[in-house]
Amino acid sequence: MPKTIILNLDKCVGCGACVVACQDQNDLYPEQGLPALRRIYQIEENRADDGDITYASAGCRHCEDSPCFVGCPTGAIYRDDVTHAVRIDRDRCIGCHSCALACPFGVPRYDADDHLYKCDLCSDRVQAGLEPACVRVCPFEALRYEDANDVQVDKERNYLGTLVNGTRGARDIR
Amino acid sequence: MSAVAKKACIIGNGGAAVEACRGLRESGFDGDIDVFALGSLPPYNPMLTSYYAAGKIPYAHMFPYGASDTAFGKYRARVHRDSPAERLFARERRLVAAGEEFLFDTCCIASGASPIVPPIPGATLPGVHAMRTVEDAVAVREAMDRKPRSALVVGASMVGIKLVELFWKAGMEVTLADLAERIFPLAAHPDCSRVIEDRLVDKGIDLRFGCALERVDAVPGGGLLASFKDSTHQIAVDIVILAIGVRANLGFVNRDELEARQGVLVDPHMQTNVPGVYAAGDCAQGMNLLTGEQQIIGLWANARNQGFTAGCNMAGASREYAGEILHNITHFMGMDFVGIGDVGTGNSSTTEQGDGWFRKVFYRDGQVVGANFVDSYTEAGVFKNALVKQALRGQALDKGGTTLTPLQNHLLQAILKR
Repeated sequence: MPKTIILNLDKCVGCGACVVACQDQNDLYPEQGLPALRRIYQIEENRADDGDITYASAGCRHCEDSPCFVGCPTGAIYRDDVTHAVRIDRDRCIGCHSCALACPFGVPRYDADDHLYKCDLCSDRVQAGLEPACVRVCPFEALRYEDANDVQVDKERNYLGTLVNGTRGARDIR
Repeated sequence: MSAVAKKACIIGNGGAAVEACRGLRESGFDGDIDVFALGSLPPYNPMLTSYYAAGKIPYAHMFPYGASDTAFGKYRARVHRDSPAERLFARERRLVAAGEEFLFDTCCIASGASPIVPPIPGATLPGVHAMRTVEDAVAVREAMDRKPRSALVVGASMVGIKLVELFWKAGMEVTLADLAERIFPLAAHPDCSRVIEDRLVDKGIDLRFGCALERVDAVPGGGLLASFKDSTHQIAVDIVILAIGVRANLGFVNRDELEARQGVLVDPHMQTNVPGVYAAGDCAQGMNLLTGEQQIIGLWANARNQGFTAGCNMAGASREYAGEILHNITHFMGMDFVGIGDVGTGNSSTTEQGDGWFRKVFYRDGQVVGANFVDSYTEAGVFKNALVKQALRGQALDKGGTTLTPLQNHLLQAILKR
């Protein structure tokens, strides 16, 4: 099972270090219309009484059966043989935005040339034996770069993917 | 019953056909796969032909699986070029194509669709084009090399608007006409249509709705003259595009034995009423998850998913593809239009608009059933997938999002609660 970026929701405090690291690594400038490839969400529950706040650092999840991959009309979206990241062939991207409608997590954004740009799991860093930039800087180790199988048990209890899929413990689903 | 199948037959050679081959091989099928191709080209995506016509992509990029037969070769399928099906005897498991008879154990009908050309005088004149096939795209691109000055696009559809964009960017005078009263009549609510139409008018597009093309005549010395029913108005143009819709290629099907309406009816296994015979793609009526009715949903991803499902089941596996909902995203002339689900039959809606964006969400009996967005694509996928997820669960997508998980709710707030 290839490694991927895993978020432990219980550790994320929404500090945004991952966002800054992502901008730095990928030369992204929000003021030029190029926001970071990760976003911080603040999820509030039970606001009426004892409110819970959960922070989630979210980016492309490099899904196993990626809807963007299936829906891309040109074949511009592909899976990296080495890192297993879902990546973009910019020459083939036509800016049709089909991936925006396919992605369940609202990830796709487009640059000035109307090409999709998204997280590539820092494939250059990973192939050089380094961790993705966002993982490298996370001060609370909420973000980790690990084999998804290794964290499956914890994942079912704690992590972002299970929160999205509604399988978190009854305590957390209201 | 397909577990012992040795000879698989695929009618058609588009995306659904390739995926059927993949499904067969990945499910362990080791027999022969024979693909009966409509023409001699590799599998292409019809959506990309307008991009080629516009010069946005090179010729080779119309073929997402590669500009050769590698797609089928990879799955050890034998391609019979220029062999469109002539007659399918589904219960006898016999196909006649290119004058030859072929016996099979299992079959997938993936013959796609063709543009509807209205039976009007002048529909086949030089300068009058459909837009669906690679040949159509090549013809329009060649026509553009002759530097036309004006165009009439008939059909306020997703294809039609891409052609409008092409001609507009070339600095041509462009008229968009449709029998319908507004743009995107199936995918957009009238309020949303109006937003788009206002923008098109601002960009100089001549819009003529509620009018049916009656005839096209060649003008001596060059050019075309388009005439409309119940109107004395005529339009002189250099190019006419007919983009009024498509029809499933099912001329070879015996409808007495194979249940078909606009397309062949299929179950969640993509199997037709005849065991061992499957259908997928733009010629198949799979499930619309929102309405619970079978409908052709002519989308690339839907075709691929249906084709793969059919292939797996042809090999004897048991795989289901529950269905889809209607959804479109079209990026043209600097704007994004999104239509999701049912935008027509709800009994209430919420509308928001701001500087450069528009959102309308539709409810039936308080339950979300669809949405239109203009220049607000960022949460469109979240919304669409939440709607599909809830439909699969047989639950409503509540206005307050109570049936969704916390993160989905949070993401959806951008649409439902802003």
